[in-house]
Parts: sequence; C-alpha cells; structure tokens
Amino acid sequence: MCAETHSKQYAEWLELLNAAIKQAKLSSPDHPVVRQAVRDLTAGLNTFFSQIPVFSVEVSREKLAVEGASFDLSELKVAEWIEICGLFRIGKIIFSKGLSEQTLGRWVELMSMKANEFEPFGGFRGPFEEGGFSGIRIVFKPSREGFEKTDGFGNGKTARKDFAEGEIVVSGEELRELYRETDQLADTEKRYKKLEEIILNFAGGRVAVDKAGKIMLLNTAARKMLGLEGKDGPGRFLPDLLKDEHLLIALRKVLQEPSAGETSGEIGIKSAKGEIRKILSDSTAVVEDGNGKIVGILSVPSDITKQKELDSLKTKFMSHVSHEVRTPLVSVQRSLSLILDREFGELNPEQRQYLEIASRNVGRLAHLLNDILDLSKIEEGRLYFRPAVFPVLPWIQEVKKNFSVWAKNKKILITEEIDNETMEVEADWDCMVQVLTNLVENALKFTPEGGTVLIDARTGTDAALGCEAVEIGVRDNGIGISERDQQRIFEKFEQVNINQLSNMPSTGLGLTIAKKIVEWHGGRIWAESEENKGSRFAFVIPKKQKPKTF
Amino acid sequence: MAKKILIVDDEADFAQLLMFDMKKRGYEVALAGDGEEGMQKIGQFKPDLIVFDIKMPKMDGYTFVKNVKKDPETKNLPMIALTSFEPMRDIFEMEGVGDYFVKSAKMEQLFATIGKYLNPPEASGA
Repeated sequence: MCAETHSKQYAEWLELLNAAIKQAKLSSPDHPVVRQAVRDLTAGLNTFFSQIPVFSVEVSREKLAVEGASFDLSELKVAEWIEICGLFRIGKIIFSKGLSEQTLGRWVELMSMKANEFEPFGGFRGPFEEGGFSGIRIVFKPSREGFEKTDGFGNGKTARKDFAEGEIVVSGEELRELYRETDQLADTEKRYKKLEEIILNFAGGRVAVDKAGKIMLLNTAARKMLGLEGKDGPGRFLPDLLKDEHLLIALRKVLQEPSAGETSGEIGIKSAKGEIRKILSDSTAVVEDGNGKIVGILSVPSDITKQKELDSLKTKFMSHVSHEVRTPLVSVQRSLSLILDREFGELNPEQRQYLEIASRNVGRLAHLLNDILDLSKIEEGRLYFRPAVFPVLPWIQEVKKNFSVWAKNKKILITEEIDNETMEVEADWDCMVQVLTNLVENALKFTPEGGTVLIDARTGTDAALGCEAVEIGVRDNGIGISERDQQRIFEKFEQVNINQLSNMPSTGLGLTIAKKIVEWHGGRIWAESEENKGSRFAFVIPKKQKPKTF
Repeated sequence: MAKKILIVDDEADFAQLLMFDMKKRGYEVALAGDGEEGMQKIGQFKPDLIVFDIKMPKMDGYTFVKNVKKDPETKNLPMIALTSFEPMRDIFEMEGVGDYFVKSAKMEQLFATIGKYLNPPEASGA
C-alpha cells in the first residue's frame, strides 16, 4: 500500500478509534491507554486491512489483544471493550480468566443458552492455555445469514462472502446484545440474591418462577403452603412438583398469561381425604428485567384458613349481635307507630313529618337487620334462591298433580280455592313448589281416608308484612295438632307423635325447610289447629321480592 | 271482668309498649322487671296469663318457669315466652310453655296467641 492510501486509511482508522473510544466512554483521547492503542494499531494497520476482516481478540481485564498486538486496558470496563469489539467486528473471542469468575460464568451460561440460537454458529470450546493467557475459547462457526444481518460500523454494508471455516463473526450488535442480556441477568440475579436473604426469612410465602415455570425462589413458608418437599427448590419445575390440582390450574393460568399483571385469588387445597384442608390467598406479580421484558412471576401465597374460620365466627357473632339490636329497634318502631297512629293525641304537621322520618328509617334499619339475619341463615344452609314472577294457579295445580296417586289411594280429595285466577307472585319457583309440597304432604298424612285437603290462595295487604302479599293455606280435616306442637313441628327433626301414623316415613325436616324458604322470601309460616278438628298450615309471602345482596 | 296479664321483662321500654297494646285491648296489665319481682307480682296481682322474657337478670326465664310450675296455684297458668332469637328447642323443653313470641314491632301475632288462651273482653284487631 502506498503511503498516501496508508495515511488516508490511517486517518479513517483514527476517526473510527476516536469514535470507538468516545463510545467506550474513556476519559480523554490523551489517555495513555488510548495512545498506546493508537500506536499499536498503527503498527498493525497494513496487516489489518489486507487481512480478511475476521480476527480474534483476546480480552481480559488488563489487555485487549488484537491479532497478537495487545493493549493495556486496565482502565476499561467490560462494557467499554464490548463497545469497541462491536465496532471492530470481532470474530473470535477468547476470554481470559483474568476476567472475574462471575463475568466469565455469565458468558459461559449465556453462550450455552444461546447455543441453539447460534446454530450453526455455536461453538463452545472449553479452556485453553496460550501465550500467558489461560481462558475459555469460544468459537463461532460461520453462517452467511448471520453475517449479513448487521453491520458493526453502522454503514449498512453487507458482509463478506467467504471466510474460513471455524472462524466466524458475531457482529458487534449481537455482542452488545449478548452483553446487555448477561449483565442484566447478572444484575437481576444479584438483586434476587440480595432479596433472597430477606425473603427467605419472611413468614409469608414467596415463590418466584421464570416464564417456563422453573423455580427461581422458594421460601420455607411457601414450600409448606404449596405442599412441596425439602428437596424441591430453585431449578426444579414447579408444575411438576405441585400435587394439588387447584394449585396446578392456577399456576398454569398465570404462566400462560403473565402479562395479565397482578392477580389475586383464593385457592382451596384439599387434603388426601378430599376435605378442604387449608385455604390460600395468592397474589401474583410479574417480574421484569431492565428493559421491561417479563422474565418471571412472583407469587405471594398466604395461608388464610384461620382467617376464614374467623370470618365464619364473625358471621355467627354478627347474627347474635343483630338479634340484640332487634329488640331496641322493635321498641322504637312500636313507639313511633303508636304516636303516628294518634294514640296520644293529634300531631301537628311537623311532628308528623319528623316522626315519619324516624319511623321510615328505623324501618330501614329493621329491614337491614333482617337481611343480615337471613343471610347468615342462608350461609349456614347454603341455599341459593332465584326469584321470578309466576302465576299461582298453575303452581298449585302442578303440586296437586304430584299427589294425585296418593290422594286417590287414600280416597282423599284435594281441591283448591283461589280468589283471583290470574294472581301472580315473585318467588323462587322450585323452592315454592317444595314448600307447598311439604305442606300438602303433611296434610295428606294427617287426613283420614275419605277426607279433604283444601289449598287456599288469596292476595291482599298483609298487615304483618306491611305490603301486598300472597297467602297460601293447606287445610286438612285430620286429627289436628296441639298448640304446644304447632310451633315445635317447624323445628328441625321435630315430629308430632301420632300413634296411628307412626308408620309414616318422614325426615322431620319438611316444615323446617318450608319455614326457611318462606322466611327467606320475607314471609311467615304457621299452623292453625284444634285437636280433632283438623289443621290449616299457611304461609304468606310478599307479592314482590325486595332485592337481596349477597 | 278484665283478664289480667303479667309481663315479666327486664327491657322496660319494650314492656311499656307491650303494656300499652294490651291495655288497649282491654286487658289489665302488671309489669315485673325480673323473675324475682315476677314471683312476687304473681302473688299480688294474680294474673291469668304470663308473658315473660327468657333473658333476664337475677332469675332467668327458665328458672322463672320452673318456679311458677312448682306452685300448685300457679302451675297451670298459661305462659308465653318472649325472645329476640329464633325459637329454639330450649323453649319447648320448658314444660308448660305453650308458645313463644319473637319480639317484633308487629304485635298481632302475640295477641292472636294470647287470645287463644284468654278470649279477650273485646275483639282485637288481629
């Protein structure tokens, strides 16, 4: 090469080097390191340009060696030499053990992970001893596609077409990429390790998995809650280890949709016998790396079994307290209504107005209280109601139909008496069928052969309910029920002791259930009877249901 | 002659309201604040029916019933239990207590029950 070209190219090189140095964030171009680099580069310039642009670089904390020429780079950080390498389109990278074990380790790990991606790039060669350096040689096999991808100089130039087998280029771009990932991974790992100390000592559960479900973090509390064994820990795959299906389903869901962000929920874990052994409440959050990419999921399970027990106790307590509140409410309501009914004289308009406010609101309180009580009843019984509007007559006829055979056999006539054929009511249809069925069944039991069972239905304002209501009664002409028994039979398992009917099968729950249902609907159920004269079991429910919230 | 009802309840307000309603229906009424006082009043007042609260200080409902039943003069007195709670089996294990009434603002049911025992002097609006 002639001197002119030489110097031109040298100038270019210098420019490039300056740029590289700037990028590498060295303090100043006068830095002894830089000067040395320039010197050495100049010396090798000819060689550099005439050679195929694939060259090897030996890197250590102390030295950056390019094709045998080495620079002293004790000041440079890994980041900086990577930048330089990137710009110079480094091909073969030989890592020296002068680098920290950690950095090397990260690279090794990264290369191993990337091995598939770099196919046919991959090439992890193992340790070497050379020219005073000991290290790990990683060689990348050539690949034309890969080479064409990027241009470390940013010139958009494509690559060369031929290069020696066994040598390769990893473009600076990719190097930088790899570096970023490694270092960030290292950073994240560092963060994890720091937190790990603290986290492992938390009483609350902490579990972190990567996107594939591999455990990254597992503290003792979480291990216990999830039913894992002592040997289960980081490195193993959580889906393989979970025995409880609810946990598995929850985990799979979260792994599928990690970007759904924070979620929380409750999971009931069954014991071997199938009963709910404990209940976990779980919060998950995604873990992101520095670039905002999701790398894993952190889950914080807590054992809330005790809490649930307390909740149930709380409900019972509330129910108890609610009853205590009821009586004073009754006194207030009653007192107000007496005054408003002018029992103690006329009221002026303001008196009336404000008393009515009081009366209305205490009525609201009473209503709220009743809802709470109904609720705890329902919670204990676990009944689900679905009220809907339906016509009363067909409902009665339906129930009647179910008993037609029995009635015929006992020669009992079942009739109905309804004061408005198109009358409707809002209630849970199935439950109401059950109520009427229970009552008719009892009637049939207590009615002797040849007797009559009458089902009556009427609407009107029910004073006790204070609204439009539907009253249904089932009358029989059997032996009747003593007053003492009339209330008692609505109790669980209570039955009337009737000698001649002792063969009748019965659970003793029919009336209790009917009562629960009727009461849920806001009505009441009772028995009217005189011994030997028959009975009438009746219930009344409001025509329309007030909305209930669960 | 007007029928006499004894109310035994430590909740004075409720008792007072109940008394008003009873008097309105033509009954003669006396009040007692607890079981002990109730026993005394029975002797003095000689009621035809007793309405009593289960939860009371000094002598609760159960004990009160037992004591009333012990006395041959009073053991056949009709007794109605008042309660804030839903009817419990316990009430009906009390011998001689035929009925209960859950304290509510609607007194009709109570009077219907009372009416069964006492056939009031004037028709009630039950």
